[in-house]
Amino acid sequence: MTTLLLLRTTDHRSAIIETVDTVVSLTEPVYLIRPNKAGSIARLSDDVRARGLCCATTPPTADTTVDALVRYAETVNAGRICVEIRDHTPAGKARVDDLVQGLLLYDDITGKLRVHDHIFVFAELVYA
Amino acid sequence: MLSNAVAPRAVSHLMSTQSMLRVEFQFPTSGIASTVFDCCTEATTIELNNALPLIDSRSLIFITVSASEELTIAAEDTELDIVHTQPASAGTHAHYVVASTPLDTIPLVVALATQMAVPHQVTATPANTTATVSVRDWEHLKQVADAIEHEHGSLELLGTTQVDRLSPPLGSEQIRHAMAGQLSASQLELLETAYEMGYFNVPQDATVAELAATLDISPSTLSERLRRVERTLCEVVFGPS
Repeated sequence: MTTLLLLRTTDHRSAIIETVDTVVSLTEPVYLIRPNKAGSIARLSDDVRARGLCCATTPPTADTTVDALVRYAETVNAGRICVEIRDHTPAGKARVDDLVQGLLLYDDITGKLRVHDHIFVFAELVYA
Repeated sequence: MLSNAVAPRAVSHLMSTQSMLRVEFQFPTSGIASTVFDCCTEATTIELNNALPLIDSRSLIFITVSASEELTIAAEDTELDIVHTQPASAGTHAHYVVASTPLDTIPLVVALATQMAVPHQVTATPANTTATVSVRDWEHLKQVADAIEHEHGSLELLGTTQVDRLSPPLGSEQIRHAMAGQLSASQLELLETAYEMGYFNVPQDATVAELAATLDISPSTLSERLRRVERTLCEVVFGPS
């Protein structure tokens, strides 16, 4: 199963990759997406590979719309999309921004959602 | 209350799963909340504590109306039929209000009940209503969001978290917060330790001596502190003596 990992800040990188490690099998490819900050991808790739995961980097893109993300996920037949949680509400909930709301309410994609400490994991994805 | 009539079915459905999503969202205030704000220009927030279905497509709602100054509720010539009002607590301008209202004036409550989502907190300002509810999973979240968006025109998701246990339904949090808010951190710790050790069980699972030993204080000090906690809680219920 291919995984898209969308990182959005430089915070909690180790914890995020650690969580990804628990949900991704060693032979499964992980596609890193870091919009607008492609320079950091190489180091992130090294971090992912250091955990024994198979890492593939994607072309940098400025198009971070939900449509673009889902289109790309469908293109690479991603069964899982992991999105970094930007921050938390005062009550401790993972804050839902426009991109995450767009994914959560996207009509043409279904699956299972798990909210971890630092990432949303949309898994077992089925595309309409 | 609506949660009496509807939530048990939803609760049982939700509890059959291992994990749920607790979701906080907001949408433009409308319906009976807007009516109350129109009737009470001093009102700043309205919290829904409960809702009971009645006959003739009406509901009995229990709300707390908080205001910046002395509150006057003039609901004549509206669909809101006020049954009872009383001050929520001394020194504030908050009032508990019980009223009958048509179901179509509480579309959020109807949508949540229809979708079998469990509401935990619903608070309105004149501009927006914020709600925290539990849903089964991602698909259920979409269905609930669709229903609310259909009723209110727009919906903004604010936050979500994964939970393994269902939180209390409407009203319970308010009571707990009101009680806990009267106690200091050390008093809460004392009370929680006593509760967890079974000091309040009948028969007791822990004696005064055992509890005092755990807290590393003398039995007489423990008794005194517990009485202070009990007195504070009595003040919350009965008012200052």
